Formats: sequence, structure tokens, C-alpha cells
Amino acid sequence: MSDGRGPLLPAPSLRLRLAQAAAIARLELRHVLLSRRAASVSLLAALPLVPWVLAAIYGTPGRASLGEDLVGFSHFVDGAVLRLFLLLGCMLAFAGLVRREIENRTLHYAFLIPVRREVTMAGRWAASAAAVATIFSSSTVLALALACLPHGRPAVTAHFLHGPGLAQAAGFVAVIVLATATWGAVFLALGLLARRPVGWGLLVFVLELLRPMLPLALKRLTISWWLTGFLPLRSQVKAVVGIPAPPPSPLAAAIVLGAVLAVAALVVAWRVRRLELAYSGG
Amino acid sequence: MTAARAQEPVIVVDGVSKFYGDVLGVSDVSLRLGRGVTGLVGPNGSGKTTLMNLLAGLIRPDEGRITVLGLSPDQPERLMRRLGYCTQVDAFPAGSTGRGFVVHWLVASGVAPRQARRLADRAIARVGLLDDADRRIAGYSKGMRQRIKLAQAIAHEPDVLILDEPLGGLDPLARAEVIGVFRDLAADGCTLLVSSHILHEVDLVADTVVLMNEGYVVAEGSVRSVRAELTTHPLQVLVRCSHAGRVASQLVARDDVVELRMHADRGGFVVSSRDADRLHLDLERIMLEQGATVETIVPADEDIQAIYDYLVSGAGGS
Repeated sequence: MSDGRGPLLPAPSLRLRLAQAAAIARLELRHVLLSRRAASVSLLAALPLVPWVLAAIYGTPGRASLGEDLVGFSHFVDGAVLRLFLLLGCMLAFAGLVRREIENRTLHYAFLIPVRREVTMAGRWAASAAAVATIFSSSTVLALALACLPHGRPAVTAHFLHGPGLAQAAGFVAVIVLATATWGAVFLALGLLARRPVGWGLLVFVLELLRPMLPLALKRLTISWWLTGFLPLRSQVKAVVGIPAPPPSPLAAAIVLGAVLAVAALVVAWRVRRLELAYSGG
Repeated sequence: MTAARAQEPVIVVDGVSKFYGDVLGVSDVSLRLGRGVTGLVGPNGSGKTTLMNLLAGLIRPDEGRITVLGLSPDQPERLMRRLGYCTQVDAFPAGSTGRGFVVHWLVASGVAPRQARRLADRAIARVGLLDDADRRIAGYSKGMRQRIKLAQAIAHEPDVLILDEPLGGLDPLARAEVIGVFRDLAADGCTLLVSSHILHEVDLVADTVVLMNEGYVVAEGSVRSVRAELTTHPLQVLVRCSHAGRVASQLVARDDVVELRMHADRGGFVVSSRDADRLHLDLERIMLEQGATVETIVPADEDIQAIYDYLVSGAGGS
């Protein structure tokens, strides 16, 4: 029915949905970056820098080659950044993304926008993922620089300007982005499925932490295992402790992580479409 | 807009029930609301907000079907382009300014930022908040918060506007201004559904009313038609005239008159009759016979408050 007033807002289309998701992501990104959550995530991202700052100040130069140190750094990214601090950061940023707004009684504003709820969630996931990935990528690149620092300017310059250094740094950033996107989607889905997502989050956390000790079949249940397929120094990464296993191929890792993302997205879409907001009472 | 189209119901609710676990929200509600302003009236917990949330798609019915402008609330992408909903929830995204709050909503809807600012300013000006638009909402008074929510709900010029207790927290002047906005919107062709516990003000603005109690719709229609259905409650008429005592004495003898109370100044009275039509005819005749000059003859209980009291306060029903 129309009486000639005509809606001011544009008619639904795929292009509009993409524009809406981008607009929501942009608006949310500003909001996320200024939130207390961002401060907590930044703190988590800063913690992995501590050993490298100490090593840069008190380390003994010349004990290991730059190449050996970078292999150690790759272990560090896998063990400390991905499976500990980034995992916790994603849990913090994504698990309560919807529930927090229900508690604050503000989610209805998002649901009253003429946008599919899935599009709203995609925009919000993208904003949080961009914020978390930016914060952790920055700290990881900084840690990489600190790891190289004791080897002196000529070695570092040669490695980064004439060697594989920049590609390795880009590789670490890519892994961080992929990890954030995947864990973000998983924790967003858990946050929508479970009344208390912390329990499920801790289960994921423990499983990821214990990954080196797990047999290959169980390693494959962890996201970080598949992420090692993209680590730039993966061929040289060997298990320090636990049960050693060859890293997955990048193709297999891409397929599995893509499937995890798709399943999480479907769960979020299914759950958010059925979500009812009754907090306003009656 | 053709006359036939104007007659089409804008909001259709068919046998809708909603439970929150074991708690009843609304039960078997069926409504057909046309254009104009409809007041939704009922005590706390009567199901007003539940019904409004169902219409906006924030919750889903357990049974029944709802359409607004022919669209299901399951389709927010289509429906919300034409529907505005001002909830009674007094919470806002942290750190928002008044203008930012409205602009954010429009931009997220797909409006270009420049146009969003223009539309937001127009809506904010309409609710009289333009001077405070750049202040943080956290520093607003309750009335200002109500108005900025209203601005957001009308910013995209919806065809249907649902307003849950929109007058709450407003001072009398602001209330009058906001009621003026409702009237302007209705005059522009917007269909309004307004819930309020300030019944007198709903009465001022609503063409029709829906009365709810304990999850059920207990009456629906124009205020006058709903009142006329309450046959167990004699109609009260306030009369102010010269020779009021003589007119009153003629009336008390009639069998349909159940009560007559003289005013202290003896310049008028309130008469209750079981036959309103006959009372009005006889009043005119008696006044002519007595040579009385009429000052006022008005229904004393043909308003929402009286109907509400009869229906909801346990005073009876039709």
C-alpha cells in the first residue's frame, strides 16, 4: 500500500546491502576503537611485546643468527600471540558483542534499521575484526622489529630490504587477520548460541593452549593448528614440546578455515534472525 | 490516495498471542487499524508494549499473523523503511550526541551522509531540539531524550509511526508541542499508534482507541462508539443552564435517569441516564418549556479516562 508519500530510504538491493554493511562497519569501527574493550584488547596486544623489549635491552647479541631468531619468533607468534593473547582478545571483543547490547538495552536500535539483521551483524563483525586485527598486527610487527633489533642495522636492513623480511612481516599480519576473522566469527556465534559463552570460550581456550600436547586428530579440531599452515616460517617451525606433527598445507588450511567461517556465519544469521528483544517489558 | 485505499487497514493483527514462558504477553488479539491516530490504552502489564514490539518485529508471535502496510514484521529490510518506532526504552548508545544518534541510524539505513544530516536536522528541528543537537544524550533531560528518540523515529518520514509512551517525562509545554507534531504527522498522512497512560492527552490526539487489559483487547473503535457499547454504565451528561433547578426537577421524574447531582452553585448538574438519545431529546424540550438558556451540554464520561475506568478498573464491562 502506498499513498504517494513514498519512502525516503532506498529500496532493498544487493548493492544497498553491501553499502549498509560497509556503513555499519565504519560507524561501528569508530565506536569500537573508542570503547573500553579496545583498551583491554590493546593491553592484551601489548603483553607479547614485553619479552622482546627485555631481549632488546638485556639480550646478548650474536648468540643466534637472525634466521634462527625469526624461527623462534614464529614459534612465539603461534604459541603466545595466536593461541593466548589474540584468542583472549577475540573472546573479549566478540563473545559479548550482542549480549552486551541486550544488557545495555540498545540492541533494538540496530534491529529497527531497515537492514537485514545478518547485514547488521556482518558490519559489526567486520568493525570488531578490523579493530582487533589492527591492534594485534601493530603489536606483532613491533615485536618483529624488536626481535631483529639485537642483530644490528646491516643485518636487519639486508633481511628486510633485500631478503624475505617484508614478505614474512606481511605473512604474520595475514595470519593475525585470518585468526581474528575466524575466531571472531566463532565467538560471535557462541555468544549468540550460549547464555554464558565464557564457559565455551574457556573450552576453546584450553583446547588451543594444549594443542602441542594433543595428537594430530585433536590438533585438527583447533583453529590455530590450521593457522600454522599460513605462518611464513612454517616449514621451519617444529614443536618445542609435545607431539610433533607437520603443519597443514595452505590449501587445506584455507578450505577448513573458510568452512569454519561459513558455518559460524550461518549460525549467526540463523540465530540473529530469531532473536527476540523483550527487555522493554510490557 | 483513493478513498478505497484510505479505507484499507494499515495494521492487521489476526489472532495473535505471545507468551514469555508461562507469562501472558497478549492473547488472541485481532485488530484492523486504519489511517489516522489510534490510542493504545491500558494499565502497566496490559500488553501494550508487547503488541507494539510485535508490530515492529522485535518479538515474534507464538500464534497468529501480523501485517503492517501489507508487510510482515519478519521483513525489517522492507518494513522499517516505512515504519518508525519510538520505544519507551530510555537507553542510548554510549557517547552519542543527539544529532549523531539520528544521523547514525540514517547512514546505517543506506542514506548518504550529507542527506542523512539534512534529514536528521529536519527531524530534530521538528521536535524542537536543534539547539541541543550536538550535546551528548547522556546530559539530556528525560524530556529531551524522549524527543530525540521521536526525532529518530520520524527522520525517514515513515508512513506508520508507533510510539510507546511518547509523552512520558515531558513537561506540559513540551507535551503540547509533541502532540502538535503528532497532529502534523497525521495531517501529512502518517498513521500513528500511540500508547500512553496520560489518557487525557491520548484523548486529545486519537481518532480511535484500543483498550487493553491483561493481554486482551477489551474495546476498540472511536471513543464515542466504545462508550456507546458500555450499556451497563449510564451515560453522564454535564448541563449548565439558567433555571437549572427547574430543568433538573423535570428530569429526575424520568425512569431512564438513574442519578442527578446538582452543582454547588445550582447553576448546573450532572445527570446519568440509561437512554442517551432520549435524554438529549427531552433535555432540549424541557429547556424550551422552561425558557432556560443553555450554557453547556456535554458528555461527562465520553472520554478515554471514563471508558478506561469502566473497563479496566473493575467497574464493569459492556
